[in-house]
Amino acid sequence: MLQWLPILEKVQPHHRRQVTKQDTGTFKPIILHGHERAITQIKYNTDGDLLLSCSKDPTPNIWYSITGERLGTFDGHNGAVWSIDINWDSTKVVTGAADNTARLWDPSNGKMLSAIETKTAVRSCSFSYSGKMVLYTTDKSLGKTCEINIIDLNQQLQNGHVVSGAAQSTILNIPVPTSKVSSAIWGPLDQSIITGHENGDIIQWDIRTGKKMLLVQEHKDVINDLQYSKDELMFITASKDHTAKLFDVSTMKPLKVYKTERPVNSGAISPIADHVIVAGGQEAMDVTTTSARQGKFDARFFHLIFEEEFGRIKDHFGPINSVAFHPDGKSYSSGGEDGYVRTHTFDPAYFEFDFEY
Amino acid sequence: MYENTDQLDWADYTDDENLDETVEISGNIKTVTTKSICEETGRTKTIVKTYIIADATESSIARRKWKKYGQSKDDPPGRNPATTLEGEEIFMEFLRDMKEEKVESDLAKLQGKALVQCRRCKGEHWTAQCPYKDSMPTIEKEIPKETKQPEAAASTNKKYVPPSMRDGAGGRKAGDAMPRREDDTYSVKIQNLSEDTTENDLMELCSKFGKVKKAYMPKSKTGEHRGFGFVHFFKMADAEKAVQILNGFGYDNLILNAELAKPRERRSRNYESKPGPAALPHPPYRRPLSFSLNLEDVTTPLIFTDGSKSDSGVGAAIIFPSQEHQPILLRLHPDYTAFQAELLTILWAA
Repeated sequence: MLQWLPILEKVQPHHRRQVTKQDTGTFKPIILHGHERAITQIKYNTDGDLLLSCSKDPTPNIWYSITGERLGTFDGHNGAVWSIDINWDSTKVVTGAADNTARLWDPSNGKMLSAIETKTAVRSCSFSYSGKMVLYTTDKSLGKTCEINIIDLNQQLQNGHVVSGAAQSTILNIPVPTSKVSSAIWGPLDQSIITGHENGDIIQWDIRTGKKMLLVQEHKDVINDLQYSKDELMFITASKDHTAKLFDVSTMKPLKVYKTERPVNSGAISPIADHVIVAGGQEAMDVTTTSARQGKFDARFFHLIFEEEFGRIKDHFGPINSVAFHPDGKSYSSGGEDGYVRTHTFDPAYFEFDFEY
Repeated sequence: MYENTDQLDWADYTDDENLDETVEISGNIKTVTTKSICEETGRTKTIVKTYIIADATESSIARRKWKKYGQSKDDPPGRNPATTLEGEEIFMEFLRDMKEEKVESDLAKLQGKALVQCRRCKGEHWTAQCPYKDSMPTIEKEIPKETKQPEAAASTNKKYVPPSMRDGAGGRKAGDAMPRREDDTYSVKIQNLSEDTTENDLMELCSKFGKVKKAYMPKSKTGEHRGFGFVHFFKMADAEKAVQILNGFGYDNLILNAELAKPRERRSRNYESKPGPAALPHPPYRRPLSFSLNLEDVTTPLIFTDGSKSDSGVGAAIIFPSQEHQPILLRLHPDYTAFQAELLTILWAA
């Protein structure tokens, strides 16, 4: 019997060997620790070589996504930064913060190009597809209504540094007296904008007239996140009502529903596979009352079409606030309430996985 | 890249304690340098892997040359351990278990409708899960009855029945069609296999003991195997060796449980009524030639049995010492088991 043991010890099932024999050997997640407080949003640039993160502390970070090196920080905000975006050719970054400013930055040197002063905190901001316009939305507070604003980027940059009111560059201003905007993205071909609201409404606005084109009431609670599919024909919503839903951009019709049993903070669609990441967890204020296991802080992978969950990655010690697929679909990043951004490279098992049907 | 990846065993490079990895990127070339110190020899092993980042665009290569700014202004090139850490490897958990649960609950829902009927006891469960599996008579008897239903009934079911099985075809009956196990193999049942184990894994594991005809893992309705499998050996001795060693053997974090698969009842009944002829009636007893024999020369002895697959009844064994010498035929007492016989022949050879 003993003579067999050395021979047999090396015989193990294939699936175990593949994992360790892997060439790249980098399935260890890269942990980015540049923030002191909860991450609010993360975003990749178009090429996927840069990763931007912002948090409830006042300094947004920019990272090289491959190595995890920090390229720099954007210093200047005085409050929680709620939203960040980078234009398609990675020459400008916009951030929206609770210090009542939206700021434009140069990602090559970290210098602030311009600041837009607002009446209330900036909740979300994003560049148009052309990169010539910037959309930002403000909160409803202290008797001021929520507003959707679109500015002309070139005009704003010509105006130079801190401009109060930003009146000259504003193309469109839509006051939203009803429920406040919690997240916003540009619609197809920069002709419309899509906003998610605190009461669960999703509204498509025509930017030429500033009027509502379509209103869908599919969610019952706050829309925390809106993200496009790669071809920008569909977008995924993440709502506190424990679901994420897939919508058609042009008709705004709900296509699929991904159900979980906790509030969903963010959802992302894989650029290469029919997969969806749905992430979230308990609300931050309830986290201390339950263990990490019960809190369900894992990123969940659903099949885009079958709406069925097939995998999980347990990682963060708190709820995940934002997830983003790398544009090549081979890795993804998540930013959590714990202040860390984690970049995961998918192991071969993920790519070999085939949904049985 | 590893120079001889194929020769390195997977077990050799896991959990290296003294791992020091640096990642450098210049242009679209990524270089990963891993230094590790071998605990036994104290030598430093340096592995340099170079990757070409295929999807690097010109602009992204240009961006690599940007100087660090803000709070990272004074960071050295490469990762700053203050801001970038490497976590423990985390793999995706695939929810196969959850799916099983779901299927089970689906089955539970269906239970009231009695869609499932046991062919043994007519209970509402799958035949394979019949609690009276061992005590009730085998089902082979009953199958012909079912097939004797009029053809009209079969056609209304729209279920395909091969012509040879149709009533009146006069051919084989369902009972003796396709014996599940070939008579010339000896099967070992291996239990407690992990869910990721495949038939090929099992085949590879068991081929260490001798020639394996096939490995088979029964699948459940959901397509996953049920944690056990059968390996069919050509030789009883190999099968017994496998049982001896694999019972209690750690495989993929689980302790295996191996046993000789029970011969089917039908077979044993046949044997009682009509004992089959011994494979080798009466081997001529011959004294071995006198020569010295090294243990290493002894290849697996060929052991003859009487075909009953029971432990006893081994009649004879042949040793093939080497190519120069003629094979030696040993005659053994029929009470010897195949495994004992093999041991004896090896000892004898020594």
